[in-house]
Amino acid sequence: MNDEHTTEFEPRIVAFLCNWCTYTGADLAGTSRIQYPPNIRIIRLMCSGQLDPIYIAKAVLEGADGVLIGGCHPGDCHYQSGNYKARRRVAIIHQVLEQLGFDPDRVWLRWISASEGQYFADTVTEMVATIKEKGPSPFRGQWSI
Amino acid sequence: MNDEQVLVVGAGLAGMTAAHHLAEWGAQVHLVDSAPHIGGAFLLLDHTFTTDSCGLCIALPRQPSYCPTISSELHPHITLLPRTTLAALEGEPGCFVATLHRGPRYVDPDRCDNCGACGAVCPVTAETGFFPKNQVSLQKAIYPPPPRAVPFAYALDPDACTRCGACVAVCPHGAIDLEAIPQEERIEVGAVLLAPGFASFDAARAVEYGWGRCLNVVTNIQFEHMLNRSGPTRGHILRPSDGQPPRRVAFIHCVGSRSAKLGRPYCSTSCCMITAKQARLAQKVTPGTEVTVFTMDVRTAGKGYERYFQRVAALPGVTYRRVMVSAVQEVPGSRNPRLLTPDGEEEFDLVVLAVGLGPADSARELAACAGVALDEHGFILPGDDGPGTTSRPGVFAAGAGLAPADVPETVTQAAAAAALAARVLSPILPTPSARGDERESKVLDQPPCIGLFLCTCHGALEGILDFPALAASSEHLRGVVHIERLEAVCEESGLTTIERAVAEHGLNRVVVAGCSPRLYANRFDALLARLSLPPRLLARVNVREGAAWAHGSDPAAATAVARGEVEMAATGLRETPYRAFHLRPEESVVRRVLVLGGGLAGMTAALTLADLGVDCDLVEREARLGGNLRESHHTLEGLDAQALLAGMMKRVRRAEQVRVWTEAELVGWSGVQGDFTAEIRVGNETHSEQYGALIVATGAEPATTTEYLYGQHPCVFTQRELEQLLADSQHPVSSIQHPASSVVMIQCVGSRDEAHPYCSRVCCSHAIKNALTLKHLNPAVEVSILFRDIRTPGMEELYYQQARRLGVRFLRYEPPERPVVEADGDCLRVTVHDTLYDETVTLEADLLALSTGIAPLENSNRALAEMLGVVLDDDGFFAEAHPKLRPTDLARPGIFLCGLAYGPRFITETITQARAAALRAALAVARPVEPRRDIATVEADMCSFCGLCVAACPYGARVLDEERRFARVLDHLCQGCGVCVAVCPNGASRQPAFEPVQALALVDAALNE
Amino acid sequence: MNGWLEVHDTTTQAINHLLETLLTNGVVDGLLVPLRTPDGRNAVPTLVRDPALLEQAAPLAPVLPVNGGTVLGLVTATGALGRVGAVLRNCELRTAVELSKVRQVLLDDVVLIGVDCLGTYRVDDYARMVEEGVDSVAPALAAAREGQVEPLTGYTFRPACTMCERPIPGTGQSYAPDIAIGLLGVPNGERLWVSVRDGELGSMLELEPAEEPAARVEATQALVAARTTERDRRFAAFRERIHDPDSLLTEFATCIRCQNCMRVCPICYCKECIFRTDIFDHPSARYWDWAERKGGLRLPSDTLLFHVTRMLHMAHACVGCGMCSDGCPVSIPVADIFRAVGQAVQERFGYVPGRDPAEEMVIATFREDELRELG
Repeated sequence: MNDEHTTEFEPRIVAFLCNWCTYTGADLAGTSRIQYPPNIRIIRLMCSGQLDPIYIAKAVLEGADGVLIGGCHPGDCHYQSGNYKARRRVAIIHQVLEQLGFDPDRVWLRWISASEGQYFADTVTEMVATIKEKGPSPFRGQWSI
Repeated sequence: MNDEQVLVVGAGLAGMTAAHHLAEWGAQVHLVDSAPHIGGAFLLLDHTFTTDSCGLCIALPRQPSYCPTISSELHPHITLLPRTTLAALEGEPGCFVATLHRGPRYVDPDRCDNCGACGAVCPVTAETGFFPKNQVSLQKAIYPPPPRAVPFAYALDPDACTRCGACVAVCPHGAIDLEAIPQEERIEVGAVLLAPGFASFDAARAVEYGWGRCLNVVTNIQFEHMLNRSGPTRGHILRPSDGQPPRRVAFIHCVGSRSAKLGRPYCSTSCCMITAKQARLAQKVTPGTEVTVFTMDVRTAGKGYERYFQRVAALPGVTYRRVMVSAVQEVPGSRNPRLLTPDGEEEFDLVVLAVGLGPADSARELAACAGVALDEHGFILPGDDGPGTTSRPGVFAAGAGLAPADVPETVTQAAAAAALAARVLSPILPTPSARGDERESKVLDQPPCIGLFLCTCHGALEGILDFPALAASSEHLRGVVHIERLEAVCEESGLTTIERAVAEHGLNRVVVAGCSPRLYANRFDALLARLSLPPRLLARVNVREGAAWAHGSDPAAATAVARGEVEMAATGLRETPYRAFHLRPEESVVRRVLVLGGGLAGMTAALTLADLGVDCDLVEREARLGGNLRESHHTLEGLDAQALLAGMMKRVRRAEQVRVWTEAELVGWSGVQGDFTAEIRVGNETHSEQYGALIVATGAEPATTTEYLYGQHPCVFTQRELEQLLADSQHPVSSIQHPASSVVMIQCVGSRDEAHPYCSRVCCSHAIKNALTLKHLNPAVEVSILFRDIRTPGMEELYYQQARRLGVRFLRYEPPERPVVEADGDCLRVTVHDTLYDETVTLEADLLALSTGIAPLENSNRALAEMLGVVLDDDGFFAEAHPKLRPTDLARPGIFLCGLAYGPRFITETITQARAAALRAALAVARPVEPRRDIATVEADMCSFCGLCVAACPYGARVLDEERRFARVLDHLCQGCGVCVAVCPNGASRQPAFEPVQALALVDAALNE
Repeated sequence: MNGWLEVHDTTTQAINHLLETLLTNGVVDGLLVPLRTPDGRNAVPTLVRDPALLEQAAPLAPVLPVNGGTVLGLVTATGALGRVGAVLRNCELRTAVELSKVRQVLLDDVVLIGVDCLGTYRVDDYARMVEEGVDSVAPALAAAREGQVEPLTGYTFRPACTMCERPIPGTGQSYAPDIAIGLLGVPNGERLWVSVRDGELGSMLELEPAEEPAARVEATQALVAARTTERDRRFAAFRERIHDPDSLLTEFATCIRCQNCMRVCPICYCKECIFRTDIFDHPSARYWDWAERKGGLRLPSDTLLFHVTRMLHMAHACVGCGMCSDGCPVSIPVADIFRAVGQAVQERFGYVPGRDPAEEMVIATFREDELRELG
């Protein structure tokens, strides 16, 4: 069940992107027609600091193969310090998930600014490749959860 | 009405800032720029000192703001006119007629969607101008916009274009018209604001430095562009010759500045800081880089700049060398630049020339068309009413077009010029926006009926997304009762279609699948009002940028993504909880401003407020107004300070809207913007007054010293004391009338040392002013100035040159070796080690003048800061909200700052800053602050009163209500960021615009197959 | 100030006498101290105003029916009517410190009185001891005199106690209470080792100043070392046992969703847990959706999400009191799990719960220059 590393495995990644920076960067990638793998589903937050850790927990437990959190570079947060709080929360999530036997390297935090369309596309491409290597989330299809 | 219209020429930082301020004031602003995009030089920049970040969005009047280039498109009061210049200006203040030359843009921004088909077929490749000769950024004659450009569409370089027409043929939207011809347009405006910006000195003219000849010699602007993460090298520093990161970088200062020979005698003000920043970033980007800065003076005299410079100079691997470079040659083979200095030859990997800033290329023409006078360098000359005015009444100016300026000065000048322009316009009473969140209660009790509208973007998306499949797969989504395909949702026809469908099918939730939700915000806001729907019941799905365009090479995948995102949105809407949400009605605002401090800054601010139609109270601690200005006599430029003072005091007394309190002190302060309560004590009585905003203009004091025998010897004075003596014709300082008399001045006494690490900015000019006065009184007098750096920014440099020509001697000392002063009877003996000639010199002085600088009012600043709930900076001056882009704001909303309380300032700078602060204060009280739609709320009975939300909020928008035992949201301070919601463990803190139920449902739906 | 307090009768009475002194001298207006229930089968935190009631005080009763930190919150958070002296074990002390950071306990008017913890038993075990006439205090004191802490024969300590490496107030980076009463490694039948922060208080209590006896220092170190070893062993066992979702789900397979662990956890201070709000009141259709997607769905739903979220919310401040394991009716080792996860989070931030009321909680603050490895 967990070792289907076949070419048919297409990771499903849930992305939480902050409106001012990363989401705009993703738009720029699109506008520039920079192609990236279609494996992500984007949820737009106003700020990476708006990310309640329970959303990530939910994504992981529901079988997301990867979770991407995108925010403004440190010092550039539109709301002053939201990204610093997001960073702490991701650190906590990583520790908790690791202790519970879930690979924390499936949850990525990346600072991507509004003008880094290429970097956004590169990040998604890199993440999909990495997750493909790891295989499907071991939480996929778990019903006793 | 033409006197509610304003023309702003130049849409760089100054132009955009001024435009936004005027737009907030209520004027209709025509924002014009000759380029195809607005943004000016700021589009190049990424890291600006001293924060080393962009943060351009913070320059706007209302916080938090979106990028001003983007906001310019969104603000309803701003009309953008790219590729437009001013051709003529007729009329008078209040009724100008401006003739605009609308150059053809050739590419229609409303039709272009950046698909790039045109660029692919364009046969012409040209240098971008940033990097000549086989460099990193060549571009076609039709080229994509920079990442943050507005309008965000391709642009055409008419000089490079051969008119072959290949692009026209391939453009799928017919957006290109090569036949377009210029148009002329006449508009009627009440005032005009010129912000033409700057042009970098053409480094090729400094032939000896090899720019254009040696590949690895670049200008600081080119270096800056490399640092830009979305620039040609994506933020990496690379040598043009081989694309490798340089290990040894040399910076050369003053290329095209302080040079009469090159026709650039003035100082460009910002380059020293630019170099310091670039040195630091060079090491950050490529660790281990060795940086050498070749310079004479280091002019880091702005607020916080000296500290920044000292930190950079102390970095391992960074060296500042006080020596000039005579030439740069290229080593064959390696193409390394080799520098020739008096110390010999040195080889580097990359040389960066700190080129000066001059007037824009278009400045002369613009000045001629606008009918304003320029000085001999090409900068706009100020008019009678001081900085910001021009020789023509009703026409104002701001930014680098006046003189080289850094970002804080530019932003301040822009707000000040906006204040001057606003005075000319008829009084505008801003109207509050429409409210209507009672709409929510209508739909709450109904089961969800979702309408899905799929936009094809004029058919463009039909080639990529399978719309029939999209529609078919959406039919099974629970809650979706209506699906419709539209050509253009953003246009009136599309909006009307939606409106009709909602009424016909009883829809209470709407999903629009089309372009990015960041676009057309205004139109969808209007749609919501028409639908009587609260914002959170309309979801916009990004199937264009996020699906069709990003995955266009695989249409099946693109459709799958679109389907997934539609399902997410529909699910999220369906699960949106039934909960009433009412915004509190607007509260009134007190339209009165308290100006604390009756010196130059305070009086200027009060008069500006009065001119803007805002009542104010001017509170001064002493018995007389005037502050430090009372001790000033004239400036270097010859401004008569006493006359200025007398004139201001008269106008203040006469101004009906200004109530003056003297011998009065602020002893208590509470409340929020729009509703402050102040306790003012006069004598034994304390008065309680209401204000909407506060301007802190409490000034500073001349620093004193115990060094160099000051206070012990009768011939040792401070510069200010010397100025008084020289002005007092009744008692001339007799010693200096003697033909052989000698005056010595020591700079940086008690500045730039451990006790006061900051630079007091004005002392070098002050010393030179006194030196010139001395020379005027007695040409034979010997004047020697002992300095560390001569900091005469901008045009002050010319007076420095004049002093040298008149024979004033300048000797450079470097700590820890300081001058030594000994008494010699009635005279003094001063010994100094001159580092320029490396010899110790002893001077006999009849008079010693010490430049002691400006000190903050330590005790009263601290007490005031605590009372207001704001902070002081490391040097004891008030700390502004943002060092670059909000220099006149304190961190608390509604409290502003100007004058010496901010830090050492010249008189003209104080006037500019006071006007800027006054405008911002006026905007703060112009209308009640509307709570945003996405603010947070608290379910009081769920709140555990833990205070985590209070700690999390960066805006101070949460307070603990002890009585009712819950955390209350201060609506007008809340910016809707949601951090408080994320930190609250049980959801007592929530954001109706984005509920956890919705978010969890989105996550869920994202994982459906 | 440290010193000896003479024991004239029993150790318990000596402590009670000290407490009485505080009350009658007005140092405190009330005492929060365990009192024997009338039937004697339990010792429950009691807010005492009448000194006469102190006769029934049982500060050494080895039972922990509720975390005293929570109780301290009850009598201080919304306006105490006086100063309270709270007799607390170190885990309760550390709880109080944590709760003070979120305004659930107000420490301004509290005299914190810590007592060496010689281990506690489950409430029902303790009740049985009492019913069977077993004296649980004297043997513990005797062992402590020799520097040993052991459960009575035939009984076991609560699992959390066996891995508690901070039983001695003021040690192991625990916030030092105003008064700390030492039993371990001292002749606790004749004199008690007392540390006070306020010298005047020490004089009032007539302490005989002295240096901390070497035997006590050694005993403390040995006890901490032993407990730490056991702790690490249990953490390692947990980490070996739970290494992937299957094993994680196995661990919680018997969870009956009573949410007792949350209710009794002192760090879970929310008035109403998010999992009890309408956010988790799913419409019936959603269950069908989930069942459709996964083939089936265990009900009630969100079992694991509840535990993981609880970890995300409170693991950084877990003090290891073990109430959660006590409360679990199906004996899931909740304390082991949450302490292990908590250790990882706390170490990441260098945070020690209960160290300092002035120290901000991990989730309450941030630094600009930290966690660079994350970005």
